[in-house]
Amino acid sequence: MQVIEKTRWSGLKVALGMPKRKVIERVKSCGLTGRSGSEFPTGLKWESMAKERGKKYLICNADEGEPGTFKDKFILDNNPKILIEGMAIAAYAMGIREAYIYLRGEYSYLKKKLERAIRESGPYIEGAGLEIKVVLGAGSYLCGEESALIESIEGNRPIIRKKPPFPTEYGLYGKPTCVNNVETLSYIPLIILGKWNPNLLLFSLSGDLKNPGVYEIAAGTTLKDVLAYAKPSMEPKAVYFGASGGCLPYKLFRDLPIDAKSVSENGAILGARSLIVVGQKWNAAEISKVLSEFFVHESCGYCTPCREGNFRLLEILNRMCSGKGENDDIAHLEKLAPHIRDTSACALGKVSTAHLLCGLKYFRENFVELAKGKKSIGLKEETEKCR
Amino acid sequence: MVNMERLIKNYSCGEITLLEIFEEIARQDGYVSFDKLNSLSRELRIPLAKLYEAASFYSFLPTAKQGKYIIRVCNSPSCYLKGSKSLIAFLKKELKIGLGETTKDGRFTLKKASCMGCCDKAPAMLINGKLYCSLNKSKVREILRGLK
Amino acid sequence: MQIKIDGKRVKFEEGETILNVAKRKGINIPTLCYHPDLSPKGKCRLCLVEADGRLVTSCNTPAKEGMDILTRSKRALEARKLNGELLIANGKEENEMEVMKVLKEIGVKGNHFKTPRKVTCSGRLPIEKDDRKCVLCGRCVQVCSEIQGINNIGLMNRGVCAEATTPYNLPMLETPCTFCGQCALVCPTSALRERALSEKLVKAMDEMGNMIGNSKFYVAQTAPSIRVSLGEMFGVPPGTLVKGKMVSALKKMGFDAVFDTDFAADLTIMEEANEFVQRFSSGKNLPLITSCCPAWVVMAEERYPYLLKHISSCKSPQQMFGAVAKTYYAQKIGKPAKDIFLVSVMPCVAKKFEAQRPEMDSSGARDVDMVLTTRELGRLMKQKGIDLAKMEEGEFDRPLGISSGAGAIFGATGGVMEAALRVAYEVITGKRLKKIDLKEVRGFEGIREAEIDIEGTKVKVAVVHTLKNIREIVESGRWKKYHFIEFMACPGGCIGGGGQPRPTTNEIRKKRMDALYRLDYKMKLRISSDNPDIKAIYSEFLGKPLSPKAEKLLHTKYKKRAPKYF
Repeated sequence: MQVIEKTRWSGLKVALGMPKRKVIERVKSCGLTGRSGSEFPTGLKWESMAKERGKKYLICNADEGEPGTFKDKFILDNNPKILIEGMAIAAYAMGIREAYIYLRGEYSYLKKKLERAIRESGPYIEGAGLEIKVVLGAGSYLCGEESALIESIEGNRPIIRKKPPFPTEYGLYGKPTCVNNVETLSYIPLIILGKWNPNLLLFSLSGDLKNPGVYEIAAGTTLKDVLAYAKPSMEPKAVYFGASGGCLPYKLFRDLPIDAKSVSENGAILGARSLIVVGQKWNAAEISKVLSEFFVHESCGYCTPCREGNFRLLEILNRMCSGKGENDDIAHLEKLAPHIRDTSACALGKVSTAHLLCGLKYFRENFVELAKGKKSIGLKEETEKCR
Repeated sequence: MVNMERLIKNYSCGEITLLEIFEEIARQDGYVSFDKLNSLSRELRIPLAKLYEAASFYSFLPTAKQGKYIIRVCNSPSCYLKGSKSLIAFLKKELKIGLGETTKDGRFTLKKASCMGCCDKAPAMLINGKLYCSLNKSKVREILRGLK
Repeated sequence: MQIKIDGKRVKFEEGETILNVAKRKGINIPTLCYHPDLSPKGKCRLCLVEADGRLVTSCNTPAKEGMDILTRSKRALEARKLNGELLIANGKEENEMEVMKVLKEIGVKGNHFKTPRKVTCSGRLPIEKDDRKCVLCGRCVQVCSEIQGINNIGLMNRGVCAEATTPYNLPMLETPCTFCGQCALVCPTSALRERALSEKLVKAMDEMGNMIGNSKFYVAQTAPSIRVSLGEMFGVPPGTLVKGKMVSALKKMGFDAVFDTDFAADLTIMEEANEFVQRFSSGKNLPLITSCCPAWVVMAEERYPYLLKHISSCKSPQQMFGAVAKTYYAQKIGKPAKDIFLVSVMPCVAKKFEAQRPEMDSSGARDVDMVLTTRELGRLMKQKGIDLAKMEEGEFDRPLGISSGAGAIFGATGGVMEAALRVAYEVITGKRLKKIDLKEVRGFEGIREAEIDIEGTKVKVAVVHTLKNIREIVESGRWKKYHFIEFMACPGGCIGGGGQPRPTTNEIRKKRMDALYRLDYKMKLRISSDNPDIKAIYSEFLGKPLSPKAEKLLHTKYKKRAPKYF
């Protein structure tokens, strides 16, 4: 796997010998895009940061919160120094001296390892004039979004900022800030060394599989080929792309290449490349209920459609799954889901109903049989006490 | 004990962030207490409501006393597919509490949690920051037994 | 720069939002969390319009060159409707609230969602909160922060557990709340409102008008602000004087006597102006700071105990009235103090707290039995089928019903200062004031300073409104520069108080203020010391200002309070 290569700081050494401008051009020309699912051209972000004068920050977004995603954890656990090297090159190229790694609270057990790696990197990154600090998150999916992450570090209520202005103009403490994903930064040393293969992509595979895990997959590989290695434990029904990417039926997706284009052409979003393989035995409405719970739990509550809408979606799905479905339910779901997508204030709201929209599109019969009120998944309606 | 003075001093010279102070308080006391947050508010001259607005947002920063061990069972899709539902039901029965509640002896609080990135070793749970994965009922029983 | 709205080309200025432009052009877009005096947040998502094919919130989306906006497309209308349904799915509906008006406009009839999201209701004093009605618009938090600078409440927790409340849900008495009530004033659903009247008081009101077996004598006093605001609850434009109709309506409700708090305002001026001159000549404990705003008093007791000796020892007009109503007036009608039931109608929520202060019993009974806000009175009248707009003109009763124009302007920021200076002039110089209109202390800016020339003596005064500005003047140390300061907690002064009709915006406040100044201007009696009823109460009862009897009945003390946090 290219990302666990031990570069022994060779990438940084080469970069420090190049003019900063050239480093950015190299990153631009290789076509690297944000690996958190944003797909924003990294070189462009760096270019606009480099133009800013005065104090600037670099933040490594290690708040990998998308359900089904654990590729960043893999990098942090197995080769943290490549990330640190990438950050040092980035800081050098953009003229940044202070950086943070925002490590999600759920990965707190990795903090010591990361800090040790930073300490051991000291002599090397000093050459780039960089100081790196690890800040822990505290259990909020929303903080994976760059502006919420910045609010979180500042000690404010971490809700997504209105954009523009973007963090590259007005970020941490009001200063220009570059937020990059762990994987994105980890590729930088390889790019400088000319060793990066853009056609090898990291995927997180989980679900009804015998061999779940982080896979490096060549572009163009079909799902069927991948599952030959991952070995489904039962006939697959669908693949869910994290919680926010929607889903595609196995039958439809099996022979397609797993890339953003073919996924989006069918109404889903590949995102951070998490594939949750759901087996045949599951009912799509039940999966949607689980995902709905996730969004209700993680919604910040700022705006009506996401806060109230997702709560009501969950209410309907809960009822349906406990044998109390009603005829109107599907109509309500079909009205609410696109509404939440179209009128929410931020990205979380926008993607929070993708699973339902895809679920209704491809597995409508699952919902219909529950709406008749006759079938039950055997679930009891349950609520958790609010904090 | 949390040394509020030291924390505030470190914050004032930019060595730590406000978020880290919240976390340090929660780590030591198990929750973000009124007294500590209020002394922070007084020293930094930030209205308490503003600090509380931020702190109360996070799943890992409780604002009321919790059990000695906070059990967070992942209930996101990958763990769900691998049986988190029955695991939660099992824990409820073993501990004799519902979700969000604390055992009478104050030892355990049970909560549902969002994906913790252990999808390939599902189902998983965190107890006071320590990760336990590839769980089943007997493993869980053993883990609970080992926690005093 | 131009945009297209509903097919028409419209010019706009840099920085205007779509909503700004639409309002300017008279195009109506429903809003809920938006308030003209607060920064727009885009939370409720009821103000959605289609801009270049996308649904956006018009309240906080800036207009951009070439934008094509549709304010009434099918898509926008349906989106608003669904958001409206989601909002009311939680709770109880009552017809008069702002939220119901907006939802009716949008076409929301009911909802098909089953469970209420929240089921708590907490009675806190004197403001209570019913979470079943809260739509999390956040206006209360904004007002407490942006306008009042108190930051007592916030939007706590996350998602559906989000709540607009105090940290750790601490009860109001332990918080730095001053009971100014601005939060309740901007609440569009009445989730935040004045505490419900206790059973005892409701019973007392019900018995009013019952001649049989009822020995109580019901007296009402009405604050200056009520007469220019109460009408709004009956469809009358803001700033219309409804004094006479208000008196008749109260009589119809069953009050045995209806008096004017403005009379007590004149009384306050007599005491306070003399107190000021005393301090000014001795140079001690200056500046003198007004004491009639109970929210300001609570704030001083909580935050600035070192200022307590500067605050005038005069009670507020409401409390002075109570003290004399149950002594001077009670004697006149031959009733013991305990048989007089005094209802005070105020634009203010903090007055409820003030009336309950233990020391406010110098008459031998509770000086004021009950305080009704303008809103509460309006609602009560409606319940009893009284249409204020259709009442005939009535007159206040004597001997506590005559007031000067100075008493009337108490309701406006700067009014107390002006009224006091009109009398202070006479006390200092022994001459009558020629220039009665002291325009230097009038206006709407938050902090106004003036140097008043009293026959060569320069008196430095300041007039401040909103708690935020008071904090600014006090905490910067600027307060020391003055001889006399008027502090009002609410924007615009009492006419903008927490108990006033909803909606109240700065525009409406100005209209109410203008009405009071117009009233003052038209009156022959404009100086408190000229008031014949005032002359009478002194000659018959109190002796002279600051006499021992006046000290006992009309003056008070303050005490330090310690909220648990700030």
